[in-house]
Amino acid sequence: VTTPPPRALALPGDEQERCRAQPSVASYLYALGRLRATRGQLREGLDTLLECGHAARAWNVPNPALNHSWQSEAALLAARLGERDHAAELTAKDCRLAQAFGAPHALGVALRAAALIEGGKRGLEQLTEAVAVLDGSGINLELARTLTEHGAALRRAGGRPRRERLAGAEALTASELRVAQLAAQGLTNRQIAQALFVSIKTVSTHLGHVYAKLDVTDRARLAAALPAKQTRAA
Amino acid sequence: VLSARDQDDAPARTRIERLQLAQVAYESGISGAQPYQEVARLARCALAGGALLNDGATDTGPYSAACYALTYAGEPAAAIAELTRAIELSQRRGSPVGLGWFCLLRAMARYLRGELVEALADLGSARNTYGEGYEHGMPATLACLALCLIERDDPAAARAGVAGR
Repeated sequence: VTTPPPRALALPGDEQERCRAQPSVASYLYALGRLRATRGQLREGLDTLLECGHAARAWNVPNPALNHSWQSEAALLAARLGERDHAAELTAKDCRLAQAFGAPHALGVALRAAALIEGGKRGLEQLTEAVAVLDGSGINLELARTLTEHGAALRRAGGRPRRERLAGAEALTASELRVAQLAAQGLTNRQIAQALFVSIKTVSTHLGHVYAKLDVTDRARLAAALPAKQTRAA
Repeated sequence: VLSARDQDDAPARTRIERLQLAQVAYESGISGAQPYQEVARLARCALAGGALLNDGATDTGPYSAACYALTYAGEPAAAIAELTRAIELSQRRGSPVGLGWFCLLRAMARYLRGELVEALADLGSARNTYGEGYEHGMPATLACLALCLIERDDPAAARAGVAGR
């Protein structure tokens, strides 16, 4: 295997040689590229990611799911540097490879990068698709990043942030929910206060908020107004 | 063996079959030659509910390959469960090299799942084994460490991490 010259490696001599002789040199270069980009060194970051690509090819790891989707990350840097054609070429390759393998992780990353470079209505569609791919996959880090970008794209498209819920069981605070659960089990205000180490007045205040949010007038109707799992959780 | 494996989800029965399936899962994963569901299926068959782990007291390569394939074929939670078993076994055997390597693999799976604090703890365990002959895993360990720290918005620590400090 011919590995690329380790220009980008920041390790001392012996460590460089050891690193160079392993497939994980690509992982190291990817991390270094991301780090340089994070520090605002866009050109150096892009060059390092391209070097990561050389290493991934040299070790015959073309699958983006196993080579950190380096092309998508490089595409984003190329776009920030104004190299639109280069960015489009990189992201198109990553999307094609990610779709062929199909794993949610790589596909979500590739779609997100393509969306951010494309922008506009098509970009929003791709971000929506990326969220759908990652949702429920357990790939939570990329899901979080994609949701953030999706929210930003929705705002740019003129969407409004969802209003905070003011009514219903989902609107209860944690303290209100705990009080409601105990009241629904038939405990008196005094018993609840003793159980939660708060004053009776605090319990009364919480219950007043609970009644208003759940639109009930007495504790007899509380159990029915709380979702079954929330009643059991007490 | 492999042709008989088509569409068969049953755990591999023999040691040779498990070794072959682990290798095929790994190579199919890195090349992307098969869909991810197939790679995950091959890896699960190879791991065979812990049998592959118990096959190799000294050679952790096939087991690591299968766990690695499983992680990047969309099943990091299953890989974490497998690797936790391997880490416990390494601790019982007193094998720091095994401990370090499996901690690194588990950290990679945890990173994917966004469990950054847990991943950093595993990477700390992996780094602690460098003096025990585990240098082989260092580049990947430093890479994963840096990525976790970048996600936690700590580029200064990430920079020190990739430099091996």
